[in-house]
Amino acid sequence: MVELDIVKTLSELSGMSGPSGFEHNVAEHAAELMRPFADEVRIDRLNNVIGIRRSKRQDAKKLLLSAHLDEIGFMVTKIEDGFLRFRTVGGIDERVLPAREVTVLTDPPIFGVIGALPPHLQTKEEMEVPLPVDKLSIDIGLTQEEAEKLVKIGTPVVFREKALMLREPYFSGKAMDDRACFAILLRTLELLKDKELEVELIIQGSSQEELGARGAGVGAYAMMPDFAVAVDVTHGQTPDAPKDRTFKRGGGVPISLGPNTNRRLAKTLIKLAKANEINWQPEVMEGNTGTDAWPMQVVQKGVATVVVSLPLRYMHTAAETINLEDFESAAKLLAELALNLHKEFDAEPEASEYVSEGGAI
Amino acid sequence: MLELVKKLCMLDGVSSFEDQVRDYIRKRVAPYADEIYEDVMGNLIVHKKGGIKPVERIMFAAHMDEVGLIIKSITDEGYLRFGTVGGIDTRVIIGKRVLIGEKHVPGVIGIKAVHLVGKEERKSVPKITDMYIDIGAKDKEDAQKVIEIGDYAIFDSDPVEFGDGFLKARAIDDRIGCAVMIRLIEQGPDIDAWYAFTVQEEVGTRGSGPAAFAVGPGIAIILEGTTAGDMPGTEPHRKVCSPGKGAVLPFMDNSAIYDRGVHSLLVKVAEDNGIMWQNKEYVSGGTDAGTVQRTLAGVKVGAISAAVRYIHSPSCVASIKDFEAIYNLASEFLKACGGIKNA
Repeated sequence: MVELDIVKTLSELSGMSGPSGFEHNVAEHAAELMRPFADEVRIDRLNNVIGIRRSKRQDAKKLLLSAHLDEIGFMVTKIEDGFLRFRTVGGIDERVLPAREVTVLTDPPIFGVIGALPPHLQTKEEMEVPLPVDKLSIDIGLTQEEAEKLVKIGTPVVFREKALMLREPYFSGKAMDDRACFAILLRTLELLKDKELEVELIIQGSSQEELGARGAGVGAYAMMPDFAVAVDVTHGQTPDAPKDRTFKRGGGVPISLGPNTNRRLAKTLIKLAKANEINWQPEVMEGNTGTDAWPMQVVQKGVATVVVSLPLRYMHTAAETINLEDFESAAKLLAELALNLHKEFDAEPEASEYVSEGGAI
Repeated sequence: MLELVKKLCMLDGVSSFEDQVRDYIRKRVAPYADEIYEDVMGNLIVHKKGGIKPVERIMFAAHMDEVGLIIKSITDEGYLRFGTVGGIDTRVIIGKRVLIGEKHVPGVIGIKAVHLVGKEERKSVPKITDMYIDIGAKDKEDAQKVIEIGDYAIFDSDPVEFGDGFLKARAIDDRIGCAVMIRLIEQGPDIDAWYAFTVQEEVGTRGSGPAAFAVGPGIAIILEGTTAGDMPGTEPHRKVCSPGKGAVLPFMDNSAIYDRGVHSLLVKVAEDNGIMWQNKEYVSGGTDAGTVQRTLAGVKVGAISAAVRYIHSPSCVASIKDFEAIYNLASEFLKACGGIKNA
């Protein structure tokens, strides 16, 4: 029996560099992590990693759980006086950048720090305004000539931060969005390890989510699931964030509602949460959920999708912080879904038929 | 020298909490000192007698403290409100990790996700009173188990060597000065001198006055970290100085116009000994020099500084070869004061 060391796994995944479009290292590591639990593991052309647990049933329906492996980052656009000018890859609040340490993904990677003028050199007025990205540059401690030799234009860059435990069960690091959710899927696989499955379970570590969920649709096309769950982070409550748009500690697993959500699938999740005494709460997303569920919903003839979320504080900073109790609840709920989904949908011959079924939850 | 700087940069020393730095230095230099004591402020004063006694009493000074944070209150939800100790641009601490108190309880300075920030709000810098540290506490009571009001917090930043001989660390300002003085005491020229490891420089050069008063020097050399602005985009006249281009010899800053005789002698000694040095080409910041200069019946002051990028941030950057230049210049200057020509 393989025992999944969650803190170790999270630390490893967080520590790896894999900005959107450059997920290959993370995908390969993710494939290794899945191998003990899956019958088949593969990586596709776009760096989506897919793990499959087969069912004994010939007519088994396919359930795909997707969490993305890419992280936000930067791309070098120009070298000036030995410093690197850059643009962001994915949505980053430039206010978190001054004095932020980064890893420039040359081979081998090099250390850098995003420069910021010290207070001594600035007026009060200057300090009251955030520095836009085009006024910032990465200091790699090299001259122009040395830098040009080492760093190509187009080199990706990621945050440099070691993951660590705050007061338990809070865990903080970079790229928790969304590798923490991929770790949830590993935990789901572990919970299902010795269980017979009536569905074929597909675990996807998707690519390029931060650029608009570009990888997951491709992965889902190849697998053609009947059901797909995007497992992604949502906003945890903090003192500076609006209470009505964030999820408080202990509030339960957020389950999506809205156009990107198949209501019967959501109802099934809610039913399973109640039956297993797993706290849950609705997360209403009135349009694009900004998750893998958005492209996956319209793959081929259409897929029944839902989003299961993990509340996370300080999204898209190097201090992304999750609660490991929420982590476990989500994994349990997803395992229950894999075990019981067939009971709800066995009578249905075609996925397309239950998509139209409505009714309030 | 590099290892010593790195070691010193890892010690906690937020202004008025300099204990770790002082204890380390005291233990290390005591065997070489003829006189060593700590005053009421917490300054560590060291006298090393030498074979030669200069006409004027020479004092070197470097401050042990660093900028940091102090915990002011705990919210009901268990978040920590804090104040800054020393001059910190709040823009460089957003989203950074800190270690609180002697136990180094980890926390993060949170900021809500970019997705929850309005367009106008994104153009503003959060106020320090709105910022908070998240230690993952369940609530106030849980936080109180590990945090006390008044605890200091340091930036969580490891020393990293990178690029062409650069060092990134926190508190390079002014552990570099401390390192130079430690080495002068341990292996410097055999000339009588006093060394003041001062406290509370970052909150208004509070420690150096009492230290200088007790020592009563004729000449004082301040060893400091000074701000370098040599990044692209900075107007050329505001670049100040550049790491890697040698010891910085300021002629003035906001705290003092340095004694021109001392300044000229520092330049001459550097030139005579082939030690790399550079001007400070912009008037900014201040040092213990101002306070020391106006102590007793007046002190002639000079300064040798290290050019430090991103000073007062978690990730300060300095050039390793500058460390040697600063040490060599301080050492040769002391020799010159003792009447020893180019050794």
